[in-house]
Amino acid sequence: MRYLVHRLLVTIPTVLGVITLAFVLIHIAPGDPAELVLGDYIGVTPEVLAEVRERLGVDRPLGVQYVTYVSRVARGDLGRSFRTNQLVLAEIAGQAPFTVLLTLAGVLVAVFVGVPAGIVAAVRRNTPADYATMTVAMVWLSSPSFWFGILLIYVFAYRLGWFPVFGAGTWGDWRSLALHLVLPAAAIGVRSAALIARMTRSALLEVLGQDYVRTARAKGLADAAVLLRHALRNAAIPVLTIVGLDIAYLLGGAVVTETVFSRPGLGKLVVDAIYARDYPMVQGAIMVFAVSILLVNLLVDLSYAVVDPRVRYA
Amino acid sequence: MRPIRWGALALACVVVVAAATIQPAQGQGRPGPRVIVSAYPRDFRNLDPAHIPGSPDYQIAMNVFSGLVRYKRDSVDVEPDLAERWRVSPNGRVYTFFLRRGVQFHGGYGELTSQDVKYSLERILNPATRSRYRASLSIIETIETVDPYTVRITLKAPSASFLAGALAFRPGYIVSQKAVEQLGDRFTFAPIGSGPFRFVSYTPRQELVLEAFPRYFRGAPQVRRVVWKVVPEESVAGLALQKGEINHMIVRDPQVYRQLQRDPNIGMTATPTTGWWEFTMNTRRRPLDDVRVRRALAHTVDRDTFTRTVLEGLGSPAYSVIPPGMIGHTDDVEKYPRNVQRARQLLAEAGYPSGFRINVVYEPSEYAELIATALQQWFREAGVDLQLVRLEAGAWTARRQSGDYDITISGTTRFDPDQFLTEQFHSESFPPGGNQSYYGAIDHLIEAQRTAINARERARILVEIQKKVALDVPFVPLFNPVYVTAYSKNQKGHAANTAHWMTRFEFVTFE
Repeated sequence: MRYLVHRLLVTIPTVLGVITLAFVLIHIAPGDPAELVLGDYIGVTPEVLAEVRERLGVDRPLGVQYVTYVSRVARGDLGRSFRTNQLVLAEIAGQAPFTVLLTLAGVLVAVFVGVPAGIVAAVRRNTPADYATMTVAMVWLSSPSFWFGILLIYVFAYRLGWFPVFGAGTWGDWRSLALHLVLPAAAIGVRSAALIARMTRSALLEVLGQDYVRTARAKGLADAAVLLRHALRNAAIPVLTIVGLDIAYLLGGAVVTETVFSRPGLGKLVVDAIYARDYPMVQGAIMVFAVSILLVNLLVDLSYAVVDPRVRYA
Repeated sequence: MRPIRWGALALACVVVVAAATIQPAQGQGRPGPRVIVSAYPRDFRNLDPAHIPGSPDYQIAMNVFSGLVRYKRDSVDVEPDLAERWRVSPNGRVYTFFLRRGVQFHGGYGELTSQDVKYSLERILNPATRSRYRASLSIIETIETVDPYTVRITLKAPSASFLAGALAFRPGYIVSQKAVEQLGDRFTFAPIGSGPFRFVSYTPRQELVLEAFPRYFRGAPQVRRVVWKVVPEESVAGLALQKGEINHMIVRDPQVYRQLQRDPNIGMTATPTTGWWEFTMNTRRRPLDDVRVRRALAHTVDRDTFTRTVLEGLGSPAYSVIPPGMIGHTDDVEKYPRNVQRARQLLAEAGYPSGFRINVVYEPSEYAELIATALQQWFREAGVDLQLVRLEAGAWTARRQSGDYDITISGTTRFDPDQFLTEQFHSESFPPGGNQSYYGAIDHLIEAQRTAINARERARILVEIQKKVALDVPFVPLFNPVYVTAYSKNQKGHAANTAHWMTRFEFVTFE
């Protein structure tokens, strides 16, 4: 418990650092938010530009803007988007469920495909099955997600018609949500699956050679039981680490996948915000990413203790 | 295998929590009888006529709002809309508009009267509104309500573009005063107008839904509902159209155009627009300050090959700054036919026999990337080395405002010449304004066409402007884009639409 409190307290300076870094970086980037807010600029006079800069508050000295921003964040106010004038927190909250859903579905795909593939490759080491699995993994790892996404859409949505071509479905309609989730989850999941497969294979190979596995076999356990109950459990830690990193990475948004499949989500939200020099949105989103990545890391660390009883936190 | 069960559990939790907190989208996004589901590449930002930032929002506004006058279905001439008729005083300064009676606002906001007209226009003129369209209405001196159905607008000076350039355009849409005052900030995404469609719902980054307004003063449109889906990737939208998930889209990508042409179930209309793509030369930078150099570069351009092969016919060659279909257009200008020999000769005369190196700074949106690559090849043939500097939108604004570029590329669609002549060719508009070439030689002509009351006189001045700009070449028009809509075959009425990359759905009918 003390460990948990400690870990949570440490996040505060980390988040502050992230806010500061995000603030500095987005303000260093050249660009005039006022012109971008006004859109296709024909007909805009310098006076109107100046008025809009004043309304956005970007005409004030950077230091003042920074202090104002941090003190507002401390009160839980992330401000309003320059682009849409909606509350930053509300916009993020509106997009987050789609991202969380896609992330978890992607990770499920990754684990359910990657772990068995890795097991097969490890058990049938140096056989055609091993080579085939690892080759496919290699190809998946190196295929661009844009291309892979379009390919999935073309084959499974357009040609075969099993899934919708685009969109994210309607909340409350599980069937629609699930159908819309399959292809994008596959698109982001297979990449991680490839990584997990390679990781599972090497971790298992290491474990399979150890004494306790031989002991388990010697006491007459079936091969499957040895593998799943003993070996895999010890191979799980590196795999868990990968899964954790993957979740953190995907929570930051799978921009390309979101774009190809026309899904709402945080990745597209933050990229659009960066292009629009939407300072409050960029800063707010980065802060939310930072917090969620810290939390995921914490969860992964805690799960080590569950998987491996030797790991204890004090 | 415990982590996996955790994952499933977490997924279930998230789904339940999300379902409890998120409002389900109200719109039903399936094509059906008299329902149009259209793909739009960009998300919407602000539907308030005072702030419309670009084409996606304009697309919605033109279906939701009415103005005193509007563009005809197939041209940029104006016709009566809310005003049944109008009278212009002999000195060209006083416009008296007589409104239709019984026009209703959406959402039960009551009858549209002259007070709403006065309010809407004054709201844009009011500095507190911070409307980007203030300058386009600044010619107005006073707005008076003579009676509930009569509005008198007095101008500071006669203005040839007042109807087509201001009142029929974005700032001319009439909003409900009551709705704006009641809804405040929410009006941005709850617009109340009196047009053929009423706003139903907007789900950020997903869809926007409009429904036919049964009390529309011209009668409810045949299209019952329009759903715009945000689909950023045009090739995906094309597949969705072929599969029937959507039944309407705008086509800009030549490859998608070709793919859809082969599908017998897809109908398409291709109409020239009053828009253009061009490249602009910074006349303050050496060696582009020398007109011979600018003419030399213009001689390298191969419009025919570009429009035919690169654009697959999605544009027609353009030579004049005023596009066909707009008042005063002429093609009788210096065209600089492709002639690399002549280009090299001009460069040698200007003192650059072995060429030089310049840059093109641009934001790679829509056709800009294709144009930049083509320019690089064309210029190279004349010995000019063109460096491509692609910038994302934000970085581009900084470069543009400080005039830090040799050449830029842009595309625009407008309805009346005054809208862009002032902004792109008047010396008052040097950067940070829109005059990116720093070309200031036609100020007097721009002002003269603006105050010409007589259309023939105005057209004469506009012809003079086109000839002069072509001779001085600060700006090289490349092509006028063709507006392509693709839709399932049972829709009719996607008629010529010269003005927009957009559709007015009140004209669409079904078989």
